[in-house]
Amino acid sequence: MSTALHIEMTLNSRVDLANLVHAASDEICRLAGIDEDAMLNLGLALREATVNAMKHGNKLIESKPVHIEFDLRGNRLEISIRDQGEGFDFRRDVDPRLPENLEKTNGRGMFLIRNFVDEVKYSHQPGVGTTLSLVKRLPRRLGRHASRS
Amino acid sequence: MKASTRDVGKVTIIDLNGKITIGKGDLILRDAIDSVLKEGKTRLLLNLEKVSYMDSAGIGELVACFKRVVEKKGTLKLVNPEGRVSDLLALTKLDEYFETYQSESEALASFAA
Repeated sequence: MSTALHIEMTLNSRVDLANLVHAASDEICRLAGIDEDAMLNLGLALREATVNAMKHGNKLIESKPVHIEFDLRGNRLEISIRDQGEGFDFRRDVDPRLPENLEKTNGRGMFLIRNFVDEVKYSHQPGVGTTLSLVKRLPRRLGRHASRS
Repeated sequence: MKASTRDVGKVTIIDLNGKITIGKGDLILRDAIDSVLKEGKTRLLLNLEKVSYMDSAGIGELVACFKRVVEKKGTLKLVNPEGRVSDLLALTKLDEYFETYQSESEALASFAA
């Protein structure tokens, strides 16, 4: 199966650049024929993952890059976000909806990511960095590019 | 995002317009709340009608603002969360944490009660 669409971006670790990533995600979703609701969800998930990579991965050191790849293949859009961080405990799944967590002012990012995409993958390579991949499955009838692959 | 304030009786309404997201909207929200608290106003109503979007930083700032107002023995309530904002509050169960109203008149009446 050939890749219908592949886009890469490399950003400094500046949280304001999350807006740029979000805008790119929206445009790619339009190209893929993803509906408005799913587009908003995916955009929010990607925004959260990007900010996490900048803050927690790269410790907001501006010169450290975050690398983002969009890969639209068949009925699947996979977005990977790679930072230069030491990784984190991906399996630790804190539920911000629990009464004891409701008053916390952070810790909702990963929860939103898990809610808004179909699959989340994590990998860490010591000395290289951490990659979080977000997978959105597309209805076949909607994927303009999907129908070509 | 933009924030403006108006007083209706003893209640200060903070009208927000735009997105409450990291690095800008969240800071504007924080400044708006801190500014009215400094003026000694503690009966606050946050009008979310024109807020189109929030991320986790925006949600976190809402919670932080609520806690700061409570520390000052005040009250912060929400009115008119629409669409995506309403969905996010429900998803995170913060619709149960914040006192939320669907109309300004209803919210204002609650302060009088």
